[in-house]
Amino acid sequence: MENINKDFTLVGSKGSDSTEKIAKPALSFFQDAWRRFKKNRVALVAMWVIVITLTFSVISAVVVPQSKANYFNPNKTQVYGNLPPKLSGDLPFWNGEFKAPGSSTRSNVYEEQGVEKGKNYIFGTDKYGRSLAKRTIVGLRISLIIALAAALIDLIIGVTYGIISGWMGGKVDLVMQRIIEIIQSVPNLVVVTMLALLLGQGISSIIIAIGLFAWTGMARQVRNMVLSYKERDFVLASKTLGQSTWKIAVKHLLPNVSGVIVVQIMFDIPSMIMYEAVLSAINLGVKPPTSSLGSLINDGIASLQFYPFQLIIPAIVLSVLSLTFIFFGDGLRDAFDPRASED
Amino acid sequence: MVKYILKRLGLLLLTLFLIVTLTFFMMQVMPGTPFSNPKLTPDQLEILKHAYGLDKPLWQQYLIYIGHMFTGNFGTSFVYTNQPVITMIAQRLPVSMQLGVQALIVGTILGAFMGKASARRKNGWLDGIFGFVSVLGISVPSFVIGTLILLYLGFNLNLFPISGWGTFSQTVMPTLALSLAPMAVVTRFVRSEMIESLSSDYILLARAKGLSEKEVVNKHAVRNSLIPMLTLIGPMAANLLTGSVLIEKIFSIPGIGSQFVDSIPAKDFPVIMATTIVYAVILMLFILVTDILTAIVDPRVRL
Repeated sequence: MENINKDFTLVGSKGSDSTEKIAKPALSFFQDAWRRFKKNRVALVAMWVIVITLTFSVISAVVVPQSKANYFNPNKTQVYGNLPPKLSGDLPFWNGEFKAPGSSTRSNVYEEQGVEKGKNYIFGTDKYGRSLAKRTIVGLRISLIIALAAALIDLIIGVTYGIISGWMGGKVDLVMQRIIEIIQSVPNLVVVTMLALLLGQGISSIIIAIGLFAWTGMARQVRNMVLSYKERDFVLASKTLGQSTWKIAVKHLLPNVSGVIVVQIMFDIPSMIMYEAVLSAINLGVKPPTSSLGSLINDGIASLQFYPFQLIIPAIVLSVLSLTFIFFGDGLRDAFDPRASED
Repeated sequence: MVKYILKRLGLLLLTLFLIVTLTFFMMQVMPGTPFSNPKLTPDQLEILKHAYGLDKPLWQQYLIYIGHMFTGNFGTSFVYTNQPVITMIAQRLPVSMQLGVQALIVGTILGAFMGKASARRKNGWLDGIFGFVSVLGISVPSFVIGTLILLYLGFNLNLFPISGWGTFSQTVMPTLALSLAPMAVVTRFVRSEMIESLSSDYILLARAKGLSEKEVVNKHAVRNSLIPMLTLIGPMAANLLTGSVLIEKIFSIPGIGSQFVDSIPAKDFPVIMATTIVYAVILMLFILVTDILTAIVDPRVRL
């Protein structure tokens, strides 16, 4: 009998407090959301793609500056212009062979145009002989800068507007909501076009143009959340204890609304990337030598019939980029609000 | 109901008035004039300005514009001399409308079917394919899809005429390009609505009553999933009209969108203003109509 007691410890025999507890570890809102988010594999991959893309864009700013992507030798456009993608001479589809416009057979364009041996353009070149890979990297960076900066404007205006509108309520809310309705009833494209016209071409004016119209959705979401939270007991308690309105907004409302805000931003970013592309496609985007994904697509459309690769590469980058943000946003929404999840 | 509609119409007019005012004054601060031809002498410029009433004080121009607007006069184009803007729009709006309506019909019907099929075979291979297609429709911009369709169906396969307007076959490719985005949105929406309603109690009851699976799905689940879709269609319809700007450009379709795009670099202010107004009216009317329709179809919604 003594031997048995040595090998086994009886559960609860010590009667300690710790064994009384059967609760799972306490998780904060964000820990809980992260736990749920990790289960969504697509969203997790999307998150990593976004992280890698952002890091890549930051690092590439050193390696591929804009001037390098815009540079071309005007005397050598005959040699370097419109080269097809080539990675190496041995690969079957990536070897620089291409059916040139007018001819019926594939031929090695690199040899025909007299490009130095060993010089490969993995995404090909545009009509001036600029490397499409470099231009796409710069374009991606500029599109991201535009989208993120516009999202920041969206965040600042939308959240402030929403909190004020929801918190004040009554007549103020009524007027502020009518203003939003008016802004929303002007078609987005018209607003963006007008603002872009008004502010002139350039990256900063595109950012302002897109940021200034896009905040209405955010403001509405935040307002609805604030409306529901401001009547909750913890806010009332705060008020009773004499907390200032400003502190209640920052300390109590904002953390509770943050989930909605993050999700809304993630859904806004792809549409901002898209708006930049649309603006560039109607020649209101970034000024010419500068490349953005939109302007590259626009250039690609112009030469589509002969050199489809010039359109397809930036188009794929743009689509994958918006796709990852959509998936990431989907995952976040499900993580923050488990009831919205489909399954 | 009538009171509600009147109230909304009043709000619509107020909004319209504000939009007109805003765009009018925005036009004034915009850089550049439509008369920037260096060959024009100062005298000729004066004559032109006088002819278009641009020499009057700004507030007078504004009042004149508002006054004319009520009689359906949106001025004359700066670029196409003596061409009243209203006739330009009257010629081009039906084209855009037809394209938009076709894309909307194709998009919603295909989307509803795909969403229904996806929801019934949740997580099956069909669901996967439709999910992939709808994800593509959402993430690939319509002008990229449009150009790819143009390249492969138009140039390479020669299936449809590449550009122009007039015959039905010329509308196929742009309709296809335009309908992909609404189709994607509708598919995702119907799928999640259907999954929700298929797991609700009235479906359980319908099954318990011994209805066939087909009846359960078509009579109960589909009907209840399509009602909330109405709220989607309003903004979507208006978006299709404005969204077709680039599609019209790519397929060189003489619609209102391509006119809008052309009038921007030309600083053809009367055309830009009129197009904005038309777009806004359409958008607001569509949203109003869908709100009313939702109330009629779904008795739970009270106006």
